[in-house]
Amino acid sequence: MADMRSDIMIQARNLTIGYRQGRKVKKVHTGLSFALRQGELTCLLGPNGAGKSTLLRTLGGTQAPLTGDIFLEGRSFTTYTEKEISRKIGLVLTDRTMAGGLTVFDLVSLGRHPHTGFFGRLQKRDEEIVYQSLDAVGVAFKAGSYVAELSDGERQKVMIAKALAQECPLLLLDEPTAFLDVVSRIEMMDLLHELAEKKGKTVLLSTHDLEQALLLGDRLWLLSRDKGLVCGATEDLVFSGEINQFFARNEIIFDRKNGNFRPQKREGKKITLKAEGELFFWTQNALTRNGFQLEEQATLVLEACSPHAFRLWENNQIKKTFTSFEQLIAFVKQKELFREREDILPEL
Amino acid sequence: MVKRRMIWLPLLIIAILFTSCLFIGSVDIPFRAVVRILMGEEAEKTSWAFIVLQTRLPQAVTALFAGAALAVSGLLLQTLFANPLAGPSILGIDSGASLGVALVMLLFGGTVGNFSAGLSFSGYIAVIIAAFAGATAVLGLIIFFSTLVRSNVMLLIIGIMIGYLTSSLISLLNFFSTAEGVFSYTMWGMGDFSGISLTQLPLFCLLLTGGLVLAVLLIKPLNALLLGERYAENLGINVKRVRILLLVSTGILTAVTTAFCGPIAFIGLAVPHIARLMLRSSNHKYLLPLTLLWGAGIALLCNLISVLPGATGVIPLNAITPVLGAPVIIYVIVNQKKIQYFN
Repeated sequence: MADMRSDIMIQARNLTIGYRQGRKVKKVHTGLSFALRQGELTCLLGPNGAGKSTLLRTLGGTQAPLTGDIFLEGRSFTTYTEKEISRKIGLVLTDRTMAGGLTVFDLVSLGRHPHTGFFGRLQKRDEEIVYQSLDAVGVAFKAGSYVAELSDGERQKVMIAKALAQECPLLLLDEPTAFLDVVSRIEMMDLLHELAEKKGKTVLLSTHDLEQALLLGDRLWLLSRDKGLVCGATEDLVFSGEINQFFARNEIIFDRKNGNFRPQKREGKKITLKAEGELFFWTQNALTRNGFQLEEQATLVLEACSPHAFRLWENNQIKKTFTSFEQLIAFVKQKELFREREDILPEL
Repeated sequence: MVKRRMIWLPLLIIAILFTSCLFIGSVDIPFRAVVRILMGEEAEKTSWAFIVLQTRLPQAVTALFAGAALAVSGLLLQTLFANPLAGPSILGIDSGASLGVALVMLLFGGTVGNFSAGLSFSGYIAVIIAAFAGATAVLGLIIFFSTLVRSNVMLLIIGIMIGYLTSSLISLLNFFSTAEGVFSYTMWGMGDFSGISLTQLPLFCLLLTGGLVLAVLLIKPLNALLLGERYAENLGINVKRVRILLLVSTGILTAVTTAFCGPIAFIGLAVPHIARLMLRSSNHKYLLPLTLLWGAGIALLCNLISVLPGATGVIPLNAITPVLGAPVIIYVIVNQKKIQYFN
């Protein structure tokens, strides 16, 4: 049985999650089964309101499951004390904190709480671990700065360092890239993947950033109201069509070839594109954005030789040349001209 | 270490102010006479010895403890509610204590509640218990509302509303009370550190020491709470228990000072800010002791100012504390973008 493998960090079968309000029981999901493996980065994806936060809270031990049991390192969750859990699971949340007046070092040393004594006094070893944790996320040079002085990205890294200082094998992160700019986002995901790969951490994070999840997630958890939780290795889910189904909207399709989603343009004009490598990708990008559909044998052919040389052929005759994407796009934008006479290009 | 050295300045100030409180008062006693009295020798007038030992000394000790207690309770509230503008008076906690005091003083007339006229032991125990009940009731109410209302400003406004409600109840009680009851309640409400006699002092100090020790024991969870409840929980802190302990500690600190000294505004609100601005950190390991010391120092300063008019009388404390406290709060609010602990 795969389930008996020793590298399983946490697993559950037939779990019902939700919350109780007084006597009312609000079920968010039933029949959830999953496992997280050591050294893997798993991305939890799902639309807002799908129950991602409830699932993360349940896994983090702050919200008990309604029925079913979770096994952490083979032991039932219910047998763990608060203190034991705080040494197993490190949380990184998007909660607002009042920690601006702490130094980065102070904040990360809070991560030592489960290991220190009554007054939280740091021993030499604790201090070493704090510095190692800061080092691991690349903010050691900020140790003396106030948390208030950090950028959003640095703050998030410091919170991850806090979780590392907790020395937990399992890291749960609630939308760690939510408030970050694009570059910091990529950096953050890369960092988390490295923690999983090199330090053997089990990382589960919720995110809306599908592209990064496809790029760096070893495993995806797709959570939705109607389909529940679908788990699998990233590439398996791509080829099984789960990804496409999961995010299916009328006009959005998953482009398996490029690993991204794009709006599906209706009544696209057919065109054949001749180009290589990155030039092909970006010319296709420009064409599909402007309502073209790529086809093998269309009467209209665009030949892209370089980003400064495009030739447009119709019935084997050169119709027009362009020296930049701007010219190409300006020409192609004249939609009403295309629409009026479906197969004949406007004379320019 | 720089942070440890920050303790010495308030200690020095406390020493200077405490001594000044013994030498300066509404009755003019020569410097050398006070020294001789403190050395245990005979003074020219026996009344002088009485004034120094039975009035000035307990008053200075009261100020020392009351200031420390109010400041620490303000700090605990600010961390508990994740709100730098929380404080015992703003959240209506001392008005809850006042309501308790008013109930005892006004319902039982001047006989039970009159501190200055030498209250019976059971009398002031009743006042303390009533004040504690009032303070913790309001605290419990505020904590209940804090689960419904997430916005900090809204919670402060609820605290202010609770304050108004209790004041209106107190006014009603005043209306139905006897003249002596109203008088002693009004005198109490002006706030002063002189209401405690030497015999009551040990109980007062003991209770406050208990509250302060409890606060010191909570330093580790207080730091964790800076990250918010969910993070604190993940760090192995039993948030529910810590909340209750904080409730008990602030309840004792606010209720006991309010019962003995009247509702004293601004020390609880402003002193934690003074301490933070000096320390430039919100790490409770240093912040709590520093807040405690500055609270004591500032209360002694207020006490000293209140007796400055000399023979003409004593200025009520609540005329002095806002002058010292309000500018600090305004400064903090105006500069909140620049002050780390707000962000």
